[in-house]
Amino acid sequence: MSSQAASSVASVIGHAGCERRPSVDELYRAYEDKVYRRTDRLFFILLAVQWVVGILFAVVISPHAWSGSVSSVHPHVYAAVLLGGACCFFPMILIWRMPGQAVTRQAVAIGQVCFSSLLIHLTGGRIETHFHVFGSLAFLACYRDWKVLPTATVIVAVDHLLRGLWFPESVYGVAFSTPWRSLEHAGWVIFEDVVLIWSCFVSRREMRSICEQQFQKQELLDGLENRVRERTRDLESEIVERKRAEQELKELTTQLVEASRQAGMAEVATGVLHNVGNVLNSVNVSTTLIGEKLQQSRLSHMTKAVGLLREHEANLPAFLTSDPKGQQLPQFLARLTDHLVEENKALLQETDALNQNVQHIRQIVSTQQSFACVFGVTEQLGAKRLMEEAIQLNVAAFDRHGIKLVREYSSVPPVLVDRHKVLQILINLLRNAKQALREVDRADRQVTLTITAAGDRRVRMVVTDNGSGIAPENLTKIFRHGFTTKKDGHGFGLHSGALAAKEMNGNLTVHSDGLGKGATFTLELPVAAEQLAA
Amino acid sequence: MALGMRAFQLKSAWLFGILVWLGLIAGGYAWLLRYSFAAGKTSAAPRIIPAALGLRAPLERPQLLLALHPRCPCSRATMSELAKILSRVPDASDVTVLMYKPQDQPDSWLEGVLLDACRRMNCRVRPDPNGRLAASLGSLTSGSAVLYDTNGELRYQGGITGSRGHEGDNAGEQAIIEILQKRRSSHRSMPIFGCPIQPQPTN
Repeated sequence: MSSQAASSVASVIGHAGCERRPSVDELYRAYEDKVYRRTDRLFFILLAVQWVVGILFAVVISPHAWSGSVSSVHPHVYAAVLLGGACCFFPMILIWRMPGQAVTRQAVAIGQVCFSSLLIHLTGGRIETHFHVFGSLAFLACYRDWKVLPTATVIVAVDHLLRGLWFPESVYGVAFSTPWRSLEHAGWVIFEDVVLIWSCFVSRREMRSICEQQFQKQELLDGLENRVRERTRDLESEIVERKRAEQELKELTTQLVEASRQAGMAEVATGVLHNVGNVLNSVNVSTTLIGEKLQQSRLSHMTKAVGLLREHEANLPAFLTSDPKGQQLPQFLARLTDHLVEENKALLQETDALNQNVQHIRQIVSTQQSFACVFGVTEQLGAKRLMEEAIQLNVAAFDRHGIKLVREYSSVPPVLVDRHKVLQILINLLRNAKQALREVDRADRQVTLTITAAGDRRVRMVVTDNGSGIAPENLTKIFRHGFTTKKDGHGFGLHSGALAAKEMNGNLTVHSDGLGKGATFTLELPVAAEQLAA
Repeated sequence: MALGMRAFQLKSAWLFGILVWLGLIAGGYAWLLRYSFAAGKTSAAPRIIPAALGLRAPLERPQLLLALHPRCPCSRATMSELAKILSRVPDASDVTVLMYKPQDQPDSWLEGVLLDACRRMNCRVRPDPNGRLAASLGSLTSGSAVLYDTNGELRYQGGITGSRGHEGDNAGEQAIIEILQKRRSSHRSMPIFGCPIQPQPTN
């Protein structure tokens, strides 16, 4: 193959990605060329090394020729330098100028066996040096081109035949030789040739097989590459589509956020109204009670007593001592005073509750405002105190409906909570319990309030009633927003209570054995960190 | 067309180059062979063993006298052939190596691979100042062997290698073995290949 062909194939191979795919023949020729060039490089080194080694042999074995006491450079040294150089340099020049070409390989074969001959001569015809011939043939076989082996063999055979005929000592080291001996030597060389030529053919067959495999692999790769290219195109359009969808999604999200914000505001408003509504019930009760008490006040009796005293102002001592009415008046005034004191006390108590409720409403609003801006304030509080505060806000309603409150408090560590959130939850639970008890017709209406420790890290506050209970199918839905079983309910109280408990790292759960069997709501709250550290 | 002509010229140039190259190699080998087969000078050895050697007939065993230049690289092959002779016909002769030495040089001048080989073969080594003893035997070239029988009569004179510096079976070696084995030998003399023992006159 010419060097142009080789380079063009190399170009095809080198740019397989952007040019046409090389055929099996082209691949094979490129592979062949690669082997030739590689072996050329090997011989370039080998020839140079041989030449140097030949000179070393000559210099070490026969550096000088002597004539008595006079010495001169031995002709073998000249032979090693000049003849050895002639054997090596020409093939080396060809390798340099025309690598991979047939003429180069043939010249290498000739030069190599000629050098074998020289080396045999320089070592004094040592039979061991003849192995160089066999080694050279093996090296030549590296070309995987059987044609170089006959060339080398012919040179060896001709050399042996001619020298065997006229100078047998120089090649066989014996003075007496027959042509049969030359043939014997040539026979051994041919024997090696047969093996090497066979190996050349086998190697070339394998080279061809490798090229076929490479071609198939390239075919597969090209197919794969096309598929990848198509897929990449698809992916690119998919990416564009996705980006567009993402943009749409972003816009939708913005819209949704706005809608959620509005919905959230509505939910917040519902929550606030619900909680305020709960407290307003208590306010309403308190104001009603105050009104009733004021209407039923005995203050008019005092006016009557004052009227009597004014009527008998002129003879007041006689009136008080002799008149039967006057005699009873001091006692009447004493009883009236006691009654008015009690009435005043009750009114003060109710006013206090009213005040607390108003404060609670204020706190609800304030909490909601702060919730809109910052997180609620958490503090360490006693569970018992929280429970009692919640009861206090509902105690009148419980009394009015004849509901008995049972307290079962254990000693527990303080909890780390937002006070008003807990109160909202507990008030809601107590109010629900009261409503559940209103629905049942039983004498022993009772709400049990329990406080226990739930492990080391939590405190459990339980509100249990023996009221109307909850149907099993509703247990899973009871904390859902908008779910209610009450006619006038909003489905918000337990939902917001569960959320508030979660925000405080606690939880709110429910248990009921079914309708008419009461219900138990459990609020678990985290123990303060200081308590944990302790 | 011009391109084809140029390719043809290039090919011809290469062919010519290859032929010149092959010619150079062939010429080089011809010169090397000529040198290898160029026999050294010699003159006829005395028919009776010379008295100068201090040997007198009848001798106990045949005397093989080998003249060597201790620094002649070609004579290494001679020593290899001598070793072969001694192994083929052991104790059949007394071997004396006359080793050339310039008159003005000490005996240490003899040291080298050839003297080492003599020691290994238990040969008697006689330093030969200016090669006078060798000259008395007509041995003017290193590697020259002279064989006298027990009667002190000359039986062989010549080299024991086939060419310069080449080991291997050869007629001279074969002749000595045959003589020592008391067999009829067809050769009484063969060419000698080695360095001149005496300085050669320059033309």
